[in-house]
Amino acid sequence: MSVSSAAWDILRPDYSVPSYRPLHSRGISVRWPEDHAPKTEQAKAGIVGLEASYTPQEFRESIVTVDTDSGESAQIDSAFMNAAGEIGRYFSYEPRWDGYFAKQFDSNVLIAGLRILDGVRRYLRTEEVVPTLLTTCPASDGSIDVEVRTEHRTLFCTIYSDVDVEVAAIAKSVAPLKGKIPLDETALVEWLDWLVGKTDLPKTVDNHRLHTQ
Amino acid sequence: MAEPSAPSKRYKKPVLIEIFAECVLTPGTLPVPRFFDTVPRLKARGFTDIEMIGNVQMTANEGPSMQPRIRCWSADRRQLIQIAEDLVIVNLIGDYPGWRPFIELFELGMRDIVGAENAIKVLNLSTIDRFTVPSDLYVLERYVNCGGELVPAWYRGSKHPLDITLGHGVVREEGWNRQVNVKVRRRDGITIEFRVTLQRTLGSKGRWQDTLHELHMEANGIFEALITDTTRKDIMEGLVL
Repeated sequence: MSVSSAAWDILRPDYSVPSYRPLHSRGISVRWPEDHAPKTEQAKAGIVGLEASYTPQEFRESIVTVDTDSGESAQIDSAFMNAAGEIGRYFSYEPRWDGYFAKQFDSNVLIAGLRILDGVRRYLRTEEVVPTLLTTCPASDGSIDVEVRTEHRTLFCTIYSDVDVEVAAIAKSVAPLKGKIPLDETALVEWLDWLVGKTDLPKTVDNHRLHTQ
Repeated sequence: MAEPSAPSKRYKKPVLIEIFAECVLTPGTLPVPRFFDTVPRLKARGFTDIEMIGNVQMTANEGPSMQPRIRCWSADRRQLIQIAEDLVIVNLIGDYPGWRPFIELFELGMRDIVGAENAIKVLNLSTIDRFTVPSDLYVLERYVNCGGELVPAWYRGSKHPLDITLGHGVVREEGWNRQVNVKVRRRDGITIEFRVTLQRTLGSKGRWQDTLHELHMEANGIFEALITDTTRKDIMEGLVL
């Protein structure tokens, strides 16, 4: 079906496909600031566009359609939009935004945070897992955290400027584990597989148990 | 092929986690400028959490275009009404309170808020059932009826993640479409999920109440055809007597 392949191209422009993509899942894409307008203007505005709910008539009338909009998908979108909105606000933070000596956020850090959020959203929609929490946290050193929780597990991604993303995996009754990953959805998917309980932690983990001081 | 159908059964521990209906309206019934007018009415009825998103609409001739969509959540996030151009979706999420509350939500959305209950062109009912079983006990046919009306016997013995997607009928040609998706995933145990989507066109004299009731009966029948007695007894703890 030509329309469907065109649709995937439009809606999934820049990410690898996570494992187990359901046959009927639909895509949502974020229109990244750098894709559409000068970074600085978009960054100031903190614009994040969300495109959702792809429902072409051709699919609606085919034998197996793309999924109609479930509430679960809407909950995932909603969590994503809230978290992306938080990052959107960080674009406007001035130096010393904490009242002390906080650095202004590099737009690359914030855009990386948005990319991670979008990767998380795509993955969770594919797996149809609604996070119990999806949020972000700004830090005075110019980094941001992206935190995503499911019922039993929590994943923290800490993003600094121009370095790999630090990832920490926390499960109940188990010491946290951390690792570093490139800003790449394939690497992120390994950790997300753990987050939703599909796998153990990836083998690339540096076996570096965090001290719980 | 006659689709399985069964009257409603009330289980002690239902595994239905979501039910939703999608109403495609006659073109021009709910244009974009008008559907924003529904927001105050929705807020007045307790749908206070309003989100607006862009909806990518694709046509073969014109390519993709952005269409707005409003998602209106109840305060407890158990009810959702989604409105787009000539499209209304009502979702009931979480522990299933029964068919009657769903119909009330449907009536609220279609009659009281949008006022388009007589302009439904295609009606679509979707159900999502999901439950998790321990990995050590799991083999597909223990919980899913393999070799029955829907799932082929070929899947017997499966202990692995799987997707079985069945589709039947083209709405434009037959006036109906049925889809069944059986999904098994390994997630802190084994998660089994059934997604059933039933679509039907309404004729000019068709009543949505009748059509929705029939789709409900069909969905029940499909669910009953998918599960085993172990699922009925061990997972859903039997019928409410």
